Amino acid sequence: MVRNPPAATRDRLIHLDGVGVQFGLNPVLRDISLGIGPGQTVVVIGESGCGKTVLLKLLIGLLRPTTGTVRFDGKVLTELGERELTRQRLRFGFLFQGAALFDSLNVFDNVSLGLREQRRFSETEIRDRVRQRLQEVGLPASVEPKMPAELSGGMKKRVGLARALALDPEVMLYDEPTTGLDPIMSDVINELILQTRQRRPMTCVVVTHDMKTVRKVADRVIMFYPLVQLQPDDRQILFDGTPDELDQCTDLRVKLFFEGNARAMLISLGGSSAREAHHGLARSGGPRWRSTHPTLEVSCERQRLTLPDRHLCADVAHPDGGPRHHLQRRADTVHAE
Amino acid sequence: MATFSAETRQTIQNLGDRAASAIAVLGDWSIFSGHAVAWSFRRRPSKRTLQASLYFVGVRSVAVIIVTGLFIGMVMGVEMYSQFSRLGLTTRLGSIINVSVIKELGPVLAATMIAGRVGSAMAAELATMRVTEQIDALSCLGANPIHYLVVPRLLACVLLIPLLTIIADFTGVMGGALISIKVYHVESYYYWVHSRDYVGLWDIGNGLFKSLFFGAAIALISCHRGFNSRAGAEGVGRAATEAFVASFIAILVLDFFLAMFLDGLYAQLWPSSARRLV
Repeated sequence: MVRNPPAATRDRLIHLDGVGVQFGLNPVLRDISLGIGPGQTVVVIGESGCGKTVLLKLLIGLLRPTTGTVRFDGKVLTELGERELTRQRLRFGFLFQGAALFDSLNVFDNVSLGLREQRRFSETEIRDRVRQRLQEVGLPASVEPKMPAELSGGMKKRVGLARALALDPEVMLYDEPTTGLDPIMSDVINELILQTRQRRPMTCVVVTHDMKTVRKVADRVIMFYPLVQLQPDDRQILFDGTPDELDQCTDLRVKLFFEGNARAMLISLGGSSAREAHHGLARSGGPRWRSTHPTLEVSCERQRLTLPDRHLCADVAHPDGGPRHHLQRRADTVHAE
Repeated sequence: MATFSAETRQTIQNLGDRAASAIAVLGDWSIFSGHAVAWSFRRRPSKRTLQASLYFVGVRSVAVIIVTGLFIGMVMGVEMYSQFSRLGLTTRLGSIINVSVIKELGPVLAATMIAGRVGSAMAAELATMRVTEQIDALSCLGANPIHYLVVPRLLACVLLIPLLTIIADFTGVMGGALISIKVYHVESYYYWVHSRDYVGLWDIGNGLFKSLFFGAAIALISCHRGFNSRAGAEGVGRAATEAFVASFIAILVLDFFLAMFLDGLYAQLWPSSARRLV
């Protein structure tokens, strides 16, 4: 039975409420609550393994949340029967990371597969629709008989996009659409995302690592953080705002990711806390820095705070008090916020 | 109260975990198989996918089945001749070779070859589709992956493995006759007369009936392994291997229980000439 959605979610096409996903013993998403309005283009960024693709698969009902609910247009996806879930899925288009073209079918059959499965289009309609979609993504009719193995990475992505658009979806999900492409082709794909949205009203969720995509297509940016690097009570969504707000964000983890800064180093601490920290660091034989995590010990040697193996980050506090600092492992070294 | 050492407890716990995991896989397979069978009746697969599966399972297996059948028959002839010649019963070779080939060796070895050639290939193909998200893509396009991918393979195996078994039976019979008559010079007239007297339609139907189940088991096990493959090249390789091993074991187990069932049925139908297995 489908319950009536709460009033706050009615103006949102997609609504996640306290969603958590766990594979075996590995939690991937924890307590994610967010809403996406119709017509929005939301870009989800974050390190590999933070659950971005899992989020997309939750939205289209390919995965079921371990906890919480995913609503689409007011309907809880996990409460829908197989037929209704399929009907709702057809309102989505999904561009997979590797395009996921069917190896045994040529380009025409790949793009037309969804149309044929509906059994309500004539062969002429199917042919016209396929031609039109291929044209929209900038591919000539001559690619129709080609097999996926004969296509370049960029062409595969465009065929995947044409296939996803064949059924005129209301929501487009893009999973790392520019990964593995050269800069020009990446820009072509970004342009196609924009053109697609301009051509017909559409809600888009784009998962990417590509900051050019973020700047070019996003109305709203959400940054996820891997659970393995978070404390149990930390929020997994580090940032949720506009691209302009992303530029102003002071969270070091967000800044480093957005800038693509992988310099692994000890970051000097600013203001009074710097002096305090410096004293603490200089007196390495003195009182120990303590981790806010009960089982994690942080060592201090040669003015560097070091995290134990396997720990990528931790909040630490100086024994004399003062604000917490966030330590993050980048390569072999550690920096503090 | 008896106490166990930590090591023993760990071993018992591991065994328990494995048993629970095996039961979970069996349950999952049963649900998967139920869906596949239900979809087979619910909606016909497209002609294109069915033709591709029929070609792959049937036409491309003919050569290997001919070779398998021929050599089973020939080896049976070689092995049996030395035994039967000591007893002066060489003209009876036809009956023992042919009944063995038609009731047991033909169906079982043909199914084993299909499990190796077709089952592992199906598992590897579907596993690759799983890993490269092609199965997810099918769901997103409104196609049911079980209907689109499993049903054509299931139908192809169920329909064509009996036909391949007939080929294996025929070539096995010919192989046995070739060795017995042409190499060991057994009197051909008596060879065939004894064969005809001993091998009946029941025996031929017996082997073909079993092959239907072997075909279904191979398709359902292989497709299930492919659908549940782990990521990466290792996952795909493992799915192919597991598909063959599980199909082979299923063939042997099914063969035993079906032989029991058919023997019991024979006894019920023709009590006077019943030949019970146990």
